[in-house]
Amino acid sequence: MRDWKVLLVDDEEEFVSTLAERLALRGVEVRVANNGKEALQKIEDDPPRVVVLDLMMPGLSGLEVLARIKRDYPAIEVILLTGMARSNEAGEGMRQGAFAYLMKPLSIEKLMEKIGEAMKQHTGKVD
Amino acid sequence: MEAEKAAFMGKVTAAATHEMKNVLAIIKESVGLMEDIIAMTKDDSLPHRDKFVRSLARIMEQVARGVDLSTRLNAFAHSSDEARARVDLNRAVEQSAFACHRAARLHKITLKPVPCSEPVEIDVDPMGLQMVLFQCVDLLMNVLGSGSTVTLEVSKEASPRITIAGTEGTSPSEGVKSPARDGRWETLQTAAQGLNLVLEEAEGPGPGLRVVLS
Repeated sequence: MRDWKVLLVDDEEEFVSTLAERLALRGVEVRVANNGKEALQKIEDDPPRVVVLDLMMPGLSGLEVLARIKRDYPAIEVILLTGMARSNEAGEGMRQGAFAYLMKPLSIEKLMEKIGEAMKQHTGKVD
Repeated sequence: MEAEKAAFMGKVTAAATHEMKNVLAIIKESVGLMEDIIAMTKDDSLPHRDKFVRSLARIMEQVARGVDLSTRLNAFAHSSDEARARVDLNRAVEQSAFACHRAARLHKITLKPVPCSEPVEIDVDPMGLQMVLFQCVDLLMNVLGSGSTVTLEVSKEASPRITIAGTEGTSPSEGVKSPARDGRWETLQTAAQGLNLVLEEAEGPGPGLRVVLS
């Protein structure tokens, strides 16, 4: 088992639950949230090391969730998910301190690679 | 009103392509999970394993095709966002080849964008430019036989230009006509002038048109 604690946040329930199963098969300790409010509650209850966050969500947007994470939990690394490569929100998210952004649909290998890099960055911050 | 209609269609289409990507993402992860499980299963405990693996790989290929289509359609939909914008002609010909792809397939004609080695940018109505390029390609396809190739070449000479030229296939159905004899030619020229573009016949071995920034 890896020592990787990840929170997946996306309003597409089927997407996020299946992705969580795939990450769990790879030894990642993973929880899911289907909206921004639920995500912030889960972070408060038990902060993960990395959050994988969809940008386009109803209610609290991905950018709003990112801003609150960076304000209250600066050591948590955030990987953004976006539908389109030239998304303005992805660029704004990177300026706000996101670790990386990935395009949907994802490559699981690429996601694992980015989570691994984000874990290293997180460890560097808390040590 | 026409610009508002185009903007409306663009917004609806852009939103729909986002939804399509979400659908494709769910299919991709579901197939990925099945592949993960098959990979963890011992060879002899799963009958028809190879057929499952092949079928899943085929679904993944189609997902990739769907993602490519929705990405291009999204970019195309965003061309109606602004009435005037800075457009790289290299990207414009790629988009045009995508927009004409299906019609070309029906005519059995190959479309070949030939970008310039450097960006060639102009200020133009992006949707208007796409309409002119689409109709130019359509005019050429109507005078070319199956098996022909249409190239959309970007160059930066005295002024930025796109040359759309046809190379006749091996078995033209009849003698090649000039695209300028098509009844739509004058209307198309007027539309181009409205965008500060000049539309002219291009010289060359085959039929061709040239769109030049005036």
